[in-house]
Amino acid sequence: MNEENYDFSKVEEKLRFEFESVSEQLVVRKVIEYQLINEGLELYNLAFVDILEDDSLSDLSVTNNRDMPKVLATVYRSMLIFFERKPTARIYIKGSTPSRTRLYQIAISKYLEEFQEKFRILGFLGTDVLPFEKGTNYDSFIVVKI
Amino acid sequence: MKTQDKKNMLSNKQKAENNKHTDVLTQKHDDAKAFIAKVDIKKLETALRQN
Repeated sequence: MNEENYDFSKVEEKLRFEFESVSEQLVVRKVIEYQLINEGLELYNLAFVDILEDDSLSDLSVTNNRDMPKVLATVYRSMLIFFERKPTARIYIKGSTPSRTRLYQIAISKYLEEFQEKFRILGFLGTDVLPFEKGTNYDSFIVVKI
Repeated sequence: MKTQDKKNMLSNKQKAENNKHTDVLTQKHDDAKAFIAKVDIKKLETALRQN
């Protein structure tokens, strides 16, 4: 994924990343946070939210900043940094809405060959976990570093 | 208002904002944790180990 991406303004020990999505009309602060959700599996949840003007967080706001590839490339870069720090960990990803999960799926499918050089992707259908395949609509995903 | 009072107000505001952030993120992480708790962990472990 060689898309242009944003610089992080902050990288903290608790695996929280912040950056700004910038357009001529709008600047939106965004947070990516990785939180351990299952110690035995070393599984971390990826939460991705916007910081609104009143400084509250939202996982449902629609930015319309026309920079989705750049934003997704930034999320991807945060994953690379995450795995540099925690190479044996796994990341659980689910969009805040079905359409956002679908957006992640489209991005994974688009760059699947490149992803699979570094990662193994699993998809959840209900509570069943399967190897990721293009054309299947998964409910959520797990990324494992190879 | 004394400078210290202003500092305390700012500090309290910052704490409230941090709490707001924590609530939303905590909920998202808790939702994910609750989902994984429903999954057959043995099957998931096997899937994670496969090359």
